[in-house]
Order: sequence, then structure tokens, then C-alpha cells
Amino acid sequence: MKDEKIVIIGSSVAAISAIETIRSKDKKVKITVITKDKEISYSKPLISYLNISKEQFYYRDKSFFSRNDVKMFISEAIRIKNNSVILKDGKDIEFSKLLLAVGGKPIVPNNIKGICGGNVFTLTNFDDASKIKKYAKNKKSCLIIGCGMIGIKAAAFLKELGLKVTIVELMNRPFGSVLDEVSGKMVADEIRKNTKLYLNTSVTEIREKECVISNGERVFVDLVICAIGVTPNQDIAKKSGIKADKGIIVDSQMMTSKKNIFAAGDCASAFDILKGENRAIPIWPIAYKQGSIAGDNMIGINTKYEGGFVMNSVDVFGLPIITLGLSSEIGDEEFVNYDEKNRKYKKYIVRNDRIIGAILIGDIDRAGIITGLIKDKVDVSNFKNGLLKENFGYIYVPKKYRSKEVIPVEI
Amino acid sequence: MKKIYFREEYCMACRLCEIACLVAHSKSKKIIKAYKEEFPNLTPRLVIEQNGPLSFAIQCRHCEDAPCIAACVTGAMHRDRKTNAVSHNAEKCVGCWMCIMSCPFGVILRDIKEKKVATKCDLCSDEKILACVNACPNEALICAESIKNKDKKKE
Repeated sequence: MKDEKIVIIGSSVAAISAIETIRSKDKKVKITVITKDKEISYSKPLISYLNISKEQFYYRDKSFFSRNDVKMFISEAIRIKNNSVILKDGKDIEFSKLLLAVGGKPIVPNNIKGICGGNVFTLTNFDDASKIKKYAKNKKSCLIIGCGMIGIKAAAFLKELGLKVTIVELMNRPFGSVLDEVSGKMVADEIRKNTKLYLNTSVTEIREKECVISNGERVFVDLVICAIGVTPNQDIAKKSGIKADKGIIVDSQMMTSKKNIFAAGDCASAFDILKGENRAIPIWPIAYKQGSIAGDNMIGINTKYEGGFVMNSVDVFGLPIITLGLSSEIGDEEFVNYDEKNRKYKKYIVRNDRIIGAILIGDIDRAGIITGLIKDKVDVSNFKNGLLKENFGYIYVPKKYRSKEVIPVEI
Repeated sequence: MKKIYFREEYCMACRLCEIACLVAHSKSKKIIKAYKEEFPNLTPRLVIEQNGPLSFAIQCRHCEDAPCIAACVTGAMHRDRKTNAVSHNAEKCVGCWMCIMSCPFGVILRDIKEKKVATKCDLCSDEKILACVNACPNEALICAESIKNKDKKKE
């Protein structure tokens, strides 16, 4: 094992998790990280938080890579040739095992006139956030394209920077892919208390001081943030003949179509237990898990990825929202509790006696129990009528499905 | 590592564990002061569940493969290198509730009164005794080894 040369492209959570897993078992193996990011070991989801301390901003302390004896190259990896990674500056770095943890890229539509202008930004990394902060100084208003996870974070961010915010969303509700009609309307009302929101609308043209939207209106804005979403970064994989289709395709060991090359995190297309097929799920917990599994397999410890599913926790101007699994799909049965007055909504979607999706708004406490039931595909037929009860909890989980973590040695 | 386990067949839902937990995590550590001066702002670190005749108190399982650590975007939720417990650093927490979304036992709670952060069982890190185990009159809460470790030894 000592002769292995592990190279990781990327320095965010999947990379960090892989390094931690490797180092917990092997202190000696050589690890090299190639990253474009000048600012390292920070947490990407926190770039839009303004009122946090420096300490909070760093996911792992600044010495993480040096402490773990990781050699760093701050450069861009262009291609993989035989057993080497070719960098932008011409250097090549040899590997025996390679991990692609290259993340996602913001989607920027090319059918909007003026989208390439200097007043248009994306918000997915530290650099983006710094640029926006700088540009937003003394500016009055902004427009955000897309009302999903990034859009809503961008809205809160710019509102805190003191700008008047307008959000333009193509679908008929915010978070269209994970919320249903009722909860979508509820969340839209909440957003409208804080910013202007156009639904069923798109931007047709961006000019220097205004945007033209599809209903013909002209909105005066100083800057535009494109927050439609992210797509897996598969540039290097495609250039190097690694199989990729809406994500770099990996098996249960996180290995790509090329032996010795692994992928993890937002760039990877791995098994989705609810869809029953591979797909990219760009969320933090999955990146962490996949990074760790890739780490194990790279040092010869055979570990399998069981698969994951979509889940999200987001705060919309103080209203907490958690969505789990196939939350906007229709099941055989639905258990819904809508408390309009107290802004609370709960919905569990059951198919074949298994929960396949859930939406929790306002009251998100103990949501993880549902996550566990989805993950373990627990048969809920005997207690599904308890799901909405006030006292619902782990006590409803049938004994045979209970985790070993709750069983002590016989005394 | 040793952890706290419930034995539902002995639990009467008397809630003494909850009170002991609140007091142990109060500033004064004295029951009357804690309730008179701090109470609505104190969050217990365990959850008492009841369903018909069944009841138990459950708190952080300090899982070997902890989903909350995987989900935490700030690094606040971490493995304590010395004790192996799952530990939470409130200073780092931003209250994104990813841990609440991930914990299959539902034992990470929102401490929204004082600060917008998550809170959970810390195995009474300040004290020598486990407050809830100590308070339980029926030994429905015990401190024991995991059955997983026993399985491992067998292997």
C-alpha cells in the first residue's frame, strides 16, 4: 500500500471526507490535492451567510491539508492521460489512484440576451460571493433568476447587503422540483413578505440598468444573479474518455468506467435508492458519504455505497423547510396536515407501504426519523396512521427495524 | 464506548430524567434556580416518547457511522477524538438543521430560544455522572456497552 500515489482533484467536502477516511486508516500513503480554489477548507453552503465568524466559515481549520500531510497544487486540472493528471500550467502529476471531486457548475442559460454582461453573477463559491459583495456596494436593487435553493440563499444574502430583491421563477411555485402546489403557494406567500416574486415568468433580456421579463415588464436593477441550479462538472471526465451522462457514472465502490479512477460528490452520478437508477444528487451529506467510500476503496478497503436520495433543509426568511425523497410525486396514499394559520405543513407520501417522500414546513423537528424510514424502506402499514400524530416518534418504529445503536449488551 | 440505553419495559414516563437533564445543563445546576430563572430557555437533551402503554427516553446514540456528522455543513457536529462521542460545537453551528434532517432517532433538537443552534446529548461532559441515568428510579435508563461491540468481539 505504501507505493500508492493518491491524487484528488477538488478540495471541498467530498475531498475532505476522503482524506479524513484515508488518514484514519493509513498515515503514510501519499496524498496530493489539485484545486482551483485559492481559499481552501471553507464550507460552500456558508458563502451567502454574512453574519458568521471566520471560525464558522471554515469547515475544517485552515491547517487541515498540511496537518494531514497532503501536498497541494493550486491549479486547474485539464486532462487525464494514462496515469497522470495534466495541469493548466503544463505540469503532470502521476497517480496510482485518482479521485474526481470536481463538484458542480452553475447553469447559465444561453438564450437570454445580455447574460454574459459584467452585471450578471452566479453564486456557488467563495470567489462569486466576494465579487458580488464588492459589486453590490452602493447599489440599490438586484434580480435573481430562479427560486430554488441557491436563489433563495442569494435573495437573503443580497437583502442583507441592503439591496431591493426581485426573484423571477419559471415555474408556478418556488422550489418547484421538491414542493407540491399547496406548500409551494405557502412558501411563495412567505417570500413575498420579503422580496418581490414573479412566478411563471422568465427573463428575456438583461441590460445595464434593467431587465425585461416575459410579461413585458421592465424591472430596474443594478445586478442580476443567475441561480437556476448546478449541473455536474464532467469536463475533465469527458475529455479523458471517462463515461459521463448527467454526472460521472460510478459503481458502488465509487469507481468510474476507468479502473483506479473514482468520483464523488456533486460531479458523480451514483445509485439513487428511490429512483432505482444512477443519478447525480448534489447535496452535502451524499458528497461526504461518497468521499469517504471512495477514500476506503482507494486504499484497498472494499466498502460499498448503499445509495442515497434527495433531501434538503432550507430556511426561507425564518421559515424552516425540509423536503425528503420524491416529495413532489404522487403516491398510493398521502398523509397531509396543513395548518394555514400557524404556517405549518406536513406531508408524507407512501407508495407500496413505504414512505417515498415528505415535506415538512414550519415544524421540522425530528424529521430525521422519516429520513431513516425512507432509507431503510421500512414497511409503515402498521403505523402509517400515527405519522401525523403529535406524539409520533421513534417509538412507532417497529422493533425489528430498530437500529442496533439502541440495543445494549444484555445485562 | 459506553452509552446510555433505554429499557422500555421498565420506563414509567415519570420524566425525572428530563428534569435531571435540564438541571445538569443549566447554568446554576440547581433545580429551583434552573426552573425559576432559566426554565423556558432550557432545552432538554433527551426526548421522552409515549405511545399507549409504552414509553422510553431516547438521546443521542453517538452512532459509529453518524449521519449528523456527514450532514453538518459547518463542521460543528464532530467526533470527539478522546471519548469517541459525537460532539456538537455550538460556536460553529449556524442552525441549518441538516443534522435534524439526518438523525434517524430524532434526538437533535433546536435550541431556538437562546441561539439558533442545534443541541443534543453530550453524555454530561461537564459532570462525572450521567444525570438522566442517575435520576431514573427504575433503571429504565442504563449505561452500557453496545451490542454491536459484543458482536464484533464474537467475530
